[in-house]
Parts: sequence; structure tokens; C-alpha cells
Amino acid sequence: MRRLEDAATHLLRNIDEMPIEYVLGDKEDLRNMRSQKPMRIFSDRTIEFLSEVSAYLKEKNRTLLNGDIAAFYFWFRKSHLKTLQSNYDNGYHIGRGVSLHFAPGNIPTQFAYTAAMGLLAGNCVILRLSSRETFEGAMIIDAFKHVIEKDFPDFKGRIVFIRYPHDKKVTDMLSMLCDVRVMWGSDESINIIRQSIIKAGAVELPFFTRDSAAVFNAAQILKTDDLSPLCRNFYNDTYLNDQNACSSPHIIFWLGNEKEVSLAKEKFWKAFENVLDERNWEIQAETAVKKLTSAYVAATYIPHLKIIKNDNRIVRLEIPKEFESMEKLWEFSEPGGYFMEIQGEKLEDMIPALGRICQTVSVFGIDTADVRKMAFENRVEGVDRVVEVGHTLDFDVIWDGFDLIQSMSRKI
Amino acid sequence: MISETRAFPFGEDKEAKAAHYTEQMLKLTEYHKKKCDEYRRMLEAAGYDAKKVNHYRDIPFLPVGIFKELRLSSIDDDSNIKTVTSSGTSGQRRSQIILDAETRVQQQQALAAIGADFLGKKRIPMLVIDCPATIEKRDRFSARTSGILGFSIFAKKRVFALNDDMSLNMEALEGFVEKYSEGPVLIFGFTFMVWRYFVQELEKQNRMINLPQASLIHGGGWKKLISEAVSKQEFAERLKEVCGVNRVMDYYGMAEQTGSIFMECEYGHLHCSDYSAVLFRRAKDFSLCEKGEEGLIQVMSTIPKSYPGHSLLTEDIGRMLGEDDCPCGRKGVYFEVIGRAQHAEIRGCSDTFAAEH
Repeated sequence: MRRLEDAATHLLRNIDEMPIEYVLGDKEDLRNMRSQKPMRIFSDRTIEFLSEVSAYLKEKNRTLLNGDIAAFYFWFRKSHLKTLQSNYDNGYHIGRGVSLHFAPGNIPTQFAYTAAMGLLAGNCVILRLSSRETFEGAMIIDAFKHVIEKDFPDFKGRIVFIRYPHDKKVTDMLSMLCDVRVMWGSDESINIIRQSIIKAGAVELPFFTRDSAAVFNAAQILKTDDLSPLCRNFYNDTYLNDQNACSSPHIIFWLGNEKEVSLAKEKFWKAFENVLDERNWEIQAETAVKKLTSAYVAATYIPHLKIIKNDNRIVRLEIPKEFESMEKLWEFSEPGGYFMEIQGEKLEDMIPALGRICQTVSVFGIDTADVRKMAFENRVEGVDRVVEVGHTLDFDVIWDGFDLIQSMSRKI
Repeated sequence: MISETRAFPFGEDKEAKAAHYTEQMLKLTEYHKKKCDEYRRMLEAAGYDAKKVNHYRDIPFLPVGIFKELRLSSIDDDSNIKTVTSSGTSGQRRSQIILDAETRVQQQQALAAIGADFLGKKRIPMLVIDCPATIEKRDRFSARTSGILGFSIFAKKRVFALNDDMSLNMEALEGFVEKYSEGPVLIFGFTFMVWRYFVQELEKQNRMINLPQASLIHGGGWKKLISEAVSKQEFAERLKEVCGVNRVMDYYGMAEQTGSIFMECEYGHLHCSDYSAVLFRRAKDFSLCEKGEEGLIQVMSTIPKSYPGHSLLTEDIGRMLGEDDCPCGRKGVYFEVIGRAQHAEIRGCSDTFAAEH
């Protein structure tokens, strides 16, 4: 143990030569971070800090009306944080120390959620931002900076955001510094990070590549006069992020008999095309070609597959019921408006597809509790959350089955 | 190797082509459907119906990327095949193209006929801007290899300008100049190689050679040069300065359809020969572009029989400049290549830690 700690000190000596860009905080903050004491979870001071960041962003967003920013400040508003605080046993529940986060590249605000959870769990935060700079990201970083400088000097030294090109020496040092390592990314990224060891007592949260499904009750769709609310919600789950989020559905399970399902599909996709028109969603050339490629590759593996498309915006794969390897379907998944559709009479028919890779199941016309129960009782490997259509991108303290607060803190 | 070839491979106008090319494409599509099970499944999944084909533009196309995912073969006997791999950037998957003897011979014939129209029928000395190892390594048959071997049919004598470590072989180069500078010669290489290892290297060493009757043919794309901000014009000018080359011709082609070669004429237009067809499609629904409108390039060739590569949708963007009326006198479509389809700005939580590097 002592030796490992020495290793961290040793690695820190080379910090001057490391290709690190400090986006929030500085080198000294990083060097001295281990001397910061952990805080209790949901401490009033942390809640104040985050709600201050939230208020600042709300004000800034008044004219911008950016959806991602709005979702972020809404989540971290004081009343919500207070509610969450009351859900946890606040007695002797304290942070583990330093949390190190590898943020995902492409949901522009995701880094801020993971960093804020690190703080709420009572930890200091080191966060590696992806090289892709976004408008939303810059805005949130600015808010953190502003709030620290203005009223929260005690948070200076507790939060460091950095960028660095993949460099094992840096990852080695950061990994040796931390007590919790949180990795968001592809399996490949996680494996690269894991080549750097962490302290024996440190814990790890891997958020690896996932994919998601939706369940539509055909009868309910046929009964619904105006499908546009559903379609807009579905749009937010899918095309809004070009179907790139792990929680965006790629498999749609249609519940009902064959006749109902075929009518419901027709009705739904027709209504959905209108929403795509309404939102002016346009397809990129590369995406169109990739979708065609994946669909054709799928056709060689899935006997009697049908590829259905009007234009290139929506590509649908009608998976025959007889297909024997539903668990393999995820391998043919593709972003940018690409759906694999299965019909089944009962919820249990979708079980073969619910492997570990399946993260979120979003539902329409069926109770989320029923799906949760089905997943639990049949002990499926996948399904970490079940939400209504339109809520797949909502952030939650429970993610991929981990309670982020519990996992990043300890009870005395 | 120059065997029976068409006299003039740019003789067909729009009408003449439509009729017989459509028939040939229909036949080839049926052939591959029968011979390649994966291809048949793709067409069935897409709901292909031969009866609805009125023109070759109605023939289905495979995206070129499919050859990175699948090994597609239309031959029963695997004994006499060569696999061509595309020169994909490191770390990326390479395409695998199955070529049998017949398809290879036909490719050579097409290339000979097209090339002869630009270089003349006489074989001339050829200077290859590459290293000998590129064609010696039998295990890796790349697009570069097949390019060199393909264009070698025009060569009376072939000399490699680079050593295996990509440095200039000055001895070979000077020998070539001494012997052949009086007459017409062919210089061939991949665009980036010509630039980096020939032009820039000669400039660095402050040396110039003189090949006043040389025609330089280069291909493989401007991708890498665009990132160095080298324009077509600058490329040609600096080439002229270092080696006095008379003519610089770009060509467009790809490992996935080696029989299709599109040469640049004296007016700077890429030409589609009678062996090929080229179409431009809109990203939004793959419908056909108007003349002048930018779209994804689709290439067709009557040659691929050993693998279903007769109709391919590329990831390149280009546009048709005209048809049958290029001042150079060649019939058929002429066009320009604008570049690769842009990488879409991805939003989503698929991380970049691995992808960045």
C-alpha cells in the first residue's frame, strides 16, 4: 500500500512535462488534490455550489434557449437536489476521496453530470474532457469557473477539468491519484484506460457501450387519434442525438398480433415522418451509406429479412419472428435513424434480445412496471432501466444499475 | 499483354449506352444473384425486382464499405484467385476483393484500351514512384500494387524511383533520365507518394531532372494532400519544376472496382468509358442528381464477375459536368470528384477516447 502511494507521488513529479491542458483549475490543484478532505454526500455546501451553477446557467440561457443547457440546470436546481438529499441516509456517509472521470465524447453536457455526481458523492473531481469542444460544454465550464471565483473559493482545488491526447503516462498518474475511477466510453476506450492500474483500494465504475430498445403496444397506437406527441417524444429519444446515445432505441418490439402490428407500424411511421419534416432533420451522405451497408450486412445473416425505407432518413429492418439469434441483433445496430423491428404477442417474446448490452427499454402503451417485472422475474442479463418514450436521455442517479452516489462514497 | 481491345473506348453516346449497358447490367445482376448467396439475400431483403429495371440506373448498388465487412465471392472454385485489399488508413478495416483470372484479364483489357487512348498504343519506358517491395510482397496485394501492375502494361521498361525505405533511388532515377529523356515516358504513382517522396524530396535535395516528354498519371485521391493544402494546380506546377513533365493526368478509381478507371482529359475532366457507368446520387433518398449537382458517386462496370462489384455506391462526392459533349471529343459522361463524404458530426455517448487515436 505504502509503495503504491509512493508511486503516485513519484508520478506526480513528472507533471510539468506532461501534455495536459488545464481547462478548469490548474496544475497546483491537481498536484495537491490528495490533501483535500472528502465531504459528506449531498453536503449543503455542495448543493449550494451546484444550484448556484444551475442558476447562473439558467440566467445565461434566458435568450439562448439551448435544450441541453436547460436540461442540465433543471436537473441541478436546488429543490431537486434537496429532494435527492432527503432520499439518502445522510448520517455518516462520506466521499471516497478523489474521483477521476473519463467523459464521453459526444453528448455535449454528459461530462458535467458525471463531475457533479462526483461532487455530490463528496469527492474531489478530476475530469478528462474529450478533444471535441462544444458550445454547451464551454458554457458549463464557464459557469463552474465563474461560480468558484465569485463565491466558492473552497471549491477551487476540488475540481480540475483537463484535456490531454491519449498518453499512458498521464493516465497512469491520474489513475494512481484517484480513489474512484469512472469511465464512460466504448469497450475499447475502457480497455485502454484499464491498462493503467489504480490503487488497490480504489473502485471503478465502467460505463461501457450499451444499446437500447423500445416497446410499442400496437393496440394503443391504433387507438390513439393524435400520434404527434408520441412521435415528438420518440424524436427526442432518437433523431435529436442522431440515435447515438446508448439509451436511444435501435430495436423496436411491437406488442400485438400480426395484423394489429402491421397496421400500427404503418400509422406510426407515417406520423413520424411528419415530425422529421417538421424538425427539418436532414441526413448526411455518410450516414445514409453506412445505414445501407449495415442493413445489407444484416440481410446476409438474417434469413428473410426485409429492409423498408421511403427515403434514407428512416431505415427499418423487419426481423422475421423465426430468427433464432435475437441476441445477435445488436451487432447490426447503426445510428442515424435505423430500427430493427420485431413483432410479438407477449412481452416475454422479447427476452432473447435482452442481453447485457440492452440498457434502456422505453415504452408506449404499456406499464413500465410490467416491463421491469418481466425483466426481473425472467432474470434477463440486460435492462437497467425502463422509462416512458421521451425520457431515454433523462439523467438519473441510478445509471447502468449503479447508484452513482453509493458507488462513489462510503458508509462509516 | 495488350490483347484484343476495343478500338475507341469512348465511342458510345447516351442512347447507345442505355440500351446495351442496361442489358449487360441486368445479366450481371442475375449472375451474381445466382452465384453469391449473400448478394442474393441482400437483393431479396431490399425487394429487388428485375422486371422493374428499365435503365441501368435502376440496378441496385452495394455500398463499397460492404467489402470491409464481408468476403463476397461469385466463384465456385477458389483455387486461382487473388485477393485485393484496399489501401485503407492504418487501424481501419481493409476491403477484400476476390478476383479470378478471367476478371483480372478483363480488367487489364479495359485498362489497356482506356490507357491507350491517353498514352498511345506504343509501349514506353515507365518510372514508378514507389518502391519495388510494393509489388514483391505477395501476401499483401493492395490497391497500390494493382495500380502499378495494371499500368505496367504500357511499360516497355519499368524502373522504380524509390528504395524500399521510401528514399529516392537517385542512381535509378539518373539512369532512367540518361537513357530515356529523349522520348516519351510514363511516370506513374499514387498522388500522395508522388508529392511526398518525389516532388518534395527532389526539392529538398535541390535536384532537378529533365523528362520533357513525360506523361504523369497519378491517382488514389487528394485526401492527404488537401490536408496539406496543395491545390491541383500547385501540384502540377511543382512537378513540372522538378522533372519537366509535359502532362499531368489524374485518374479516379478504386480497389473495389479495379476495372473502372476514369482518366482526366486535356480539359481536366474525368471521363467514363464504355466499360463503365457513373451516376451521382442524393444522400437524402439516393435519387439521381441533376447535371452539376453534387452527390455520392456510383460506379458501374461490366467487368466484375468473380465478385458482385458491378454496381457500387462509393463514399466519394462528385458531380457530372456533362455528357457526350466534352471538347476533347470523347463520348460519355464526364465529371469531377470533389472529395469524401464529410464525417458526420456525431452526437451521442459513443466515446472518443479510443477513436481519437
